[in-house]
Amino acid sequence: MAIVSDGHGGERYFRSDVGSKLLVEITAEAIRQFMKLGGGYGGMRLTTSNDDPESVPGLGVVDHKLRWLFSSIIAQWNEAIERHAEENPLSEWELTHVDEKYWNEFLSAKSPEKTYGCTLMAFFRTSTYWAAFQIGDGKLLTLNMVDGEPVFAQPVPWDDKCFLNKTTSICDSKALDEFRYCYCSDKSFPTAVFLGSDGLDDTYGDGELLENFYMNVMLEIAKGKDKAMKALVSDLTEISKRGSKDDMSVAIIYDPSVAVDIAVQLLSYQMTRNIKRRESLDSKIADLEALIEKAGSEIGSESQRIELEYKKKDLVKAKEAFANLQLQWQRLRGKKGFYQRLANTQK
Amino acid sequence: MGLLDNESIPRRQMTLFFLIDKSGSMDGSKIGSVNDAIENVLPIIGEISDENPDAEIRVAALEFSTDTRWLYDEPKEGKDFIWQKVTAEGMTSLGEACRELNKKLSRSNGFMSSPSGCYAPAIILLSDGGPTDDFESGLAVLKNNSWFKSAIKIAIAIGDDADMEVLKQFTGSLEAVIKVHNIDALKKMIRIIAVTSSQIGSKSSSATDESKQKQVEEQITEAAKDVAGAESAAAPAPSKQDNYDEWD
Repeated sequence: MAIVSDGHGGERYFRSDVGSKLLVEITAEAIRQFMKLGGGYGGMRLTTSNDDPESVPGLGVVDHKLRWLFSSIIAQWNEAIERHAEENPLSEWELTHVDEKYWNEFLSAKSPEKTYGCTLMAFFRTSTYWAAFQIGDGKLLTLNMVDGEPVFAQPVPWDDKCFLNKTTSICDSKALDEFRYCYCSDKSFPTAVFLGSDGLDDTYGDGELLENFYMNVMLEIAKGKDKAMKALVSDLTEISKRGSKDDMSVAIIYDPSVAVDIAVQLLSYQMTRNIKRRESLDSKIADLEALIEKAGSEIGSESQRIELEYKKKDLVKAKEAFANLQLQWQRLRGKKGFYQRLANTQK
Repeated sequence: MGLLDNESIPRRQMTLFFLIDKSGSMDGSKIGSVNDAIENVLPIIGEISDENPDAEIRVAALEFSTDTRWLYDEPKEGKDFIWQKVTAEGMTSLGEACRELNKKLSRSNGFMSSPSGCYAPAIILLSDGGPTDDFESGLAVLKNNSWFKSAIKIAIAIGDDADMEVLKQFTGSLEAVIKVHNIDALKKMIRIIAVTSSQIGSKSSSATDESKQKQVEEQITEAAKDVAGAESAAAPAPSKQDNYDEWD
């Protein structure tokens, strides 16, 4: 299993570091119990909390069991934070650094859940099924290699309530209804799974750049777990500084026995993609040059002049992009050589 | 090799929207000043964007009168935005402008990308009158838009005929409406509001969208006190000569 919980930023949530640590421990144990009690249901293709339990055979059972799991997590977390609050009165540091209104909320609330607020995402698998669930932001990606090409997916449905710096949370009063999940028991398991807190997708977005980041993580993993851990610890700090400025947590599930082979496939894919993009840009540059030459002799109106100006800007950008792709190609070629040698050594 | 090489880390994006009333009553010095002021502030926004390691500011402009029209079919960086002079004629279809803005405040066929990696947009509405179409239903659509709800929203009321209630409804508060009474004040406030919204809107901080709105409101209200012929609609300046409209 892999679990990530991200404590909310902001003064109000001044014990969210404790809240998230407790939530990870509680979730891990709850998942173990779930698996022991036989939480699965056989033969179901990938199904999500957005599907109608009436129209997908078995989903009603799975939905019921998962909601029981989520209820158990919420109840145990609330118990744990209440105990922590009782055993740990406000410290001197908290009294001096946290706004009075927030420690008053902590002191007066029946349950101090806001003080400990955090998000949660988890993935777990057995020999017969896998499932993933989430409350709050952050992105959970699966990777499958299909005909040598990476196919990324985000199988847990997104919740539009998680928007910009707003997120749903385990500390919400209706947390149980805010859990989203996916479940699959047709024995098709992802090649790898990545769970990243929102600091990462606020840096890379949730599209190709985020996928590129995880492809680079897979390349590091192929060199060995220790090296990958070292790269993550050092580089995530730098990525956070240059990107979202938020803290970042990443959890990954992968199969070490195929890591090098996947690295070679990913690099082959990136090189093919690089060639296709250069071909496309080459053609765009030729078109723009022809249009600029033609337009230069036909300027009559203000709008034609503006259009010509933008074509010239587009041409400059296309040439820069082409040059960057050429440099990237050199780097990819070097990398692929390295991983091919690594693959040969392993054989 | 490592996780950093090969891929650059993109800056987060913030989009600054100008919604420009170009109805017939804006003809003459009003629309001329709007054209001058926005054209002149674009390079400054470009500089703010270039100097900000965290965010790239893009600009989009919608003109509305009887119809609506986006100046370009995609937002452009401030330094790349070639201003097209807006000419005044027609009615004030602000309701339609709201619907059009709603379409573009979207990821599918709109101007926005994923909320991940973006800041909330800033929207500046300039108007000298009242809507001549069904404003309420247009605004109702817009108010359900998550991007609009999170956006910094400021309105400039150009002269005494501007419908303050409508501008208040659009921005959500009277504190976000600045009233101007002459050409000089109009030009200065466009510049101040565009620059302040861009700076605060593109700032990486733990500030919530609500508090960014408040920061912009406070700063422009303070700035308006030093501009003759400008005043916050929530705290009008004491009556004096430069509170009277003077547009010729």
